[in-house]
Amino acid sequence: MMHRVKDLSPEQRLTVEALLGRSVSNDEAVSIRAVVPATVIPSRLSPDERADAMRRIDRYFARVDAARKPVSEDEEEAIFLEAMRSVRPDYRPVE
Amino acid sequence: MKIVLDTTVLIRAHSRSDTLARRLLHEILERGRRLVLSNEIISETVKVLRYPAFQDLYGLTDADLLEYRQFLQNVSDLVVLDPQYRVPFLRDPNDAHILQTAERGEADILCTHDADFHEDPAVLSFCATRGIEVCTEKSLLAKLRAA
Repeated sequence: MMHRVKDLSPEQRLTVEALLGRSVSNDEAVSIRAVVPATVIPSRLSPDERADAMRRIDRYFARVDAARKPVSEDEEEAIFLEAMRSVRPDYRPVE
Repeated sequence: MKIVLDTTVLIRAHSRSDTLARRLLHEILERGRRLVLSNEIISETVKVLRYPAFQDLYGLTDADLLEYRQFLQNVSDLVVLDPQYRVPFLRDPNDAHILQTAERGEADILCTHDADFHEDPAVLSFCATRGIEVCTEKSLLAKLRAA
């Protein structure tokens, strides 16, 4: 529903201006709508597109495997721990 | 089945070609399960992958990191997090975005390597009352293959 600004009460006009973050003039009209914000944005990939994404990420991981420096599992675990603690200082891996 | 993979799992997918985390991604995405993430989890994952010691090990380029970020964004259901969300009982407040992603995303399973989610009775109770099962990569993989 449209509301002419010139027909708004002073209180309504102030509220509209506060919501818009600017002043409004008498020759304008406003419309306010209440919406529920989406909490979850679903993936829009079709099954074929999802399969294609998996093929591409497999190629990505193949490149990662090829470029990885040869380190022991213990060394790699230590790097994981150090890197995780850079974002979660109290991080402890489950046994 | 809706599954949240924590940053601790998403970075482990880079570990080795036979890594559990990489197999999990395949199991989830090839069998029609829903991978549930948030931009906060994805950003944290990229931040960890940018960590200097990680860069020394893997040498990931900006293009590589962008590719992984876009992959995760495309294949997952993205939960929009509430910045006001608070979990007073959390030992580590840096875990809040993981818990919130699972709760708001109505996840069935939260898969993480973070001990807080497996050992803290308050976190386990919080998850249990919301129908969220906390799993390791190994237990989740076994569950998916048995289903």
